[in-house]
Amino acid sequence: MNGFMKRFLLIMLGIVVWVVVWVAIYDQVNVWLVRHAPGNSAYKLERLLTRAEISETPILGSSRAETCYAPSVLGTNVFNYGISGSCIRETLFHLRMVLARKKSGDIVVNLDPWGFAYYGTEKKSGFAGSYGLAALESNVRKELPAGLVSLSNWLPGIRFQGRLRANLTAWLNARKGVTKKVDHGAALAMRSRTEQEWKVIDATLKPVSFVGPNAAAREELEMIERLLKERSDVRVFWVVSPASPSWKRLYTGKRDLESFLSGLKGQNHVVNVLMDTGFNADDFVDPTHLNLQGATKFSRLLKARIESL
Amino acid sequence: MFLPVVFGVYWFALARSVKAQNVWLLLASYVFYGWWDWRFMGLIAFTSGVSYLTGLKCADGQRHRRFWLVVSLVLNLAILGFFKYCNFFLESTASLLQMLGMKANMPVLQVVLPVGISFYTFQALSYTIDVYRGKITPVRDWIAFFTFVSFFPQLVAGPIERASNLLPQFKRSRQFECDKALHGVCLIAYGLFKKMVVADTLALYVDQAFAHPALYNSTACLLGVFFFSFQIYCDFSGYSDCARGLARLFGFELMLNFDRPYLSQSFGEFWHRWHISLSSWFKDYVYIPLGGNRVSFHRLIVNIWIVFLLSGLWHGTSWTFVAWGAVHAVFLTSGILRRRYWPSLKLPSALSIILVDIGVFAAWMLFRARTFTDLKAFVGRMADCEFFGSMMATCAGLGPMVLLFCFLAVGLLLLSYVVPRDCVFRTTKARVAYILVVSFVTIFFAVPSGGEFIYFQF
Repeated sequence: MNGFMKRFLLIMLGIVVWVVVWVAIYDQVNVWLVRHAPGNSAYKLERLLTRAEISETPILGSSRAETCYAPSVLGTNVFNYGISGSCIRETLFHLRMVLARKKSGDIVVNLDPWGFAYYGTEKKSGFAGSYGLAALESNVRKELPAGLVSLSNWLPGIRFQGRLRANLTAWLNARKGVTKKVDHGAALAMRSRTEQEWKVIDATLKPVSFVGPNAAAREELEMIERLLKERSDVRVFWVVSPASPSWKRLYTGKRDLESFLSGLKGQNHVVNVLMDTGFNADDFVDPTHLNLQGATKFSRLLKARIESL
Repeated sequence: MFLPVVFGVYWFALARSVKAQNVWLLLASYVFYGWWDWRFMGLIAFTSGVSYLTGLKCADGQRHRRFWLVVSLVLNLAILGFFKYCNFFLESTASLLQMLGMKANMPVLQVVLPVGISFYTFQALSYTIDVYRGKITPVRDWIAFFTFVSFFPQLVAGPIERASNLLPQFKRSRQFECDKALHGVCLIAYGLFKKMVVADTLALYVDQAFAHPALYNSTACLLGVFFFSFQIYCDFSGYSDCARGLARLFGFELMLNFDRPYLSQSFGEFWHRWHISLSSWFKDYVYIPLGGNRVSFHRLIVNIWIVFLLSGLWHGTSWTFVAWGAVHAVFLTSGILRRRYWPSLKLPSALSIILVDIGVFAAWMLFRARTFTDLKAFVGRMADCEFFGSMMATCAGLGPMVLLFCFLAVGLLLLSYVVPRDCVFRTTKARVAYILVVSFVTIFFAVPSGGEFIYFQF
């Protein structure tokens, strides 16, 4: 090895060390931001999956859970664990994890009106990498569906607990509500759409049906049913939140959804507000997600329904 | 892992033999290419073989030289035409027949576009043509030639190298030089910064603005065009910088492909600074054989239009790309007319740069919008002149943080222009400091799961 090569390799070693150090610092900055931002997906996963006990009423589900349920309206000890990009597959996994950690009380599970459309398919939910922090726990890791724990969860700085921009936005929202109002994990959109915007959005809508559970999903549901039979101290509420009038007109799965929900009763309680006519376009930020106004209205309605049961 | 292994074996085990180094690079390049899709290794080998053999036959003094040149052109362009343009022409023919009221049952072929085919085909063709013209002597070392066509740093997105520049470097012995290698690392770091920090950040906004222009205001659309202009520049020039940097690590010099194109004072100058390897290829192998500018005025305009329409077609299989080429032909034609009829009309440099940038940025709309329908919707929204509105409408629905990061990304890019290149690359300490600063910025501001390089699709 000649002198020039030695010099080059030494310099490259120094550069690599520099990069590794800053990547580690970047990683820690992200971890700090995540842990101080209740609206952040990675925060929610860590909180949900790594604490020994869950005392609050958790709300589980997708972005529809995250944006449609206002915890401060629902009660005093409620936390919104809705994670954008979750499919029912992830939600059922979280429900099992919660049942293992919750001593007694209520659990709210949001069911999307398209049901099990993506269960067991190749569609990757957007938050899969957010298991980064939570996946450090061995008991969580062994439960995670195959493929969701990957090398990217382990390499410093590449762990996908969020990119700096996204984590910074979530942290700022938690402090000041820059783009969304963060309410105990809920990210409530502070805007509604103009008539012109609705025209464009509605023009892109397509018919949607309800897809029932496949074999793997039925197995998962049976597992949850068995767990609930042993847990008379826990109530699970399956809730279907509202959708916009134009979206509802194209929805073809009403009967299939009701059939599925009626099969859930017994160990569960069902609140189906999907076709409720009390919500108009002003309550929505997009056809399937309520805004702050709509979420407040829906949460009051849900609270009344739960209290009546 | 690929790069350290290739680099290590190349310099530690094979430094004494140029031939061994070439063989190693050839193997590495084919493994690199095969990683994308192993099925197309045969295709690049075939292109290389055809060009190598026809090159031998095209040399001065050979019989039927012109025949073998035609064979090379036909075979290589046929392969490119089939893989890249087959479905485009079938679909266009079907549309035309339907417009004329005729039934069109054209077959739809599931043809996968091999990565880099536009680049390496042009590179191989330039060799055969240069041999025919007597500019270079044909290469007898097939390993050197195959490596020249498939050289992995520039294989998938250029620069399109000339045989006269790159081939002799495969024959020469290469010595490791620390400063040259560090300069290469500087280029790689800068290329990654341009791609992962600037281009991928801007893509977040651009994708939204172009996908749903009707949901946002005219300001969002204008910003979309502005950001896309920098996105495509950083995406493409970032790859070129990485390619040049990687080549330097192995002791090779690739040509400069971008030379601050948005500082051009005329559209002609823009094409001497943007994708230099492609524009010079079209100049040498299409424009000049057509007569160049040594023809009548009208013929000159026709030549320019032919070159730019072909250039547009090279970029993509959609009529929007051809229209983009046509727009640039209009720009150049207007420049020629200005010089012919108003030679005294001269604008201040700054104004010239701004006007050229406005024209170039506006033309990028054709490049970005995939169809004329999308373009119409986008331009229509801009023409509504609704520049003010809600913050969300201006931020393309993404929030002010994304917009802030986009401006920051463009600001960082412009800041990098302020640093004089001679200063940065003069000493080892300056190079190392440059690498450390750029890597720091990239770590904190990169969009890690950003998209593929735009020009990979060509």
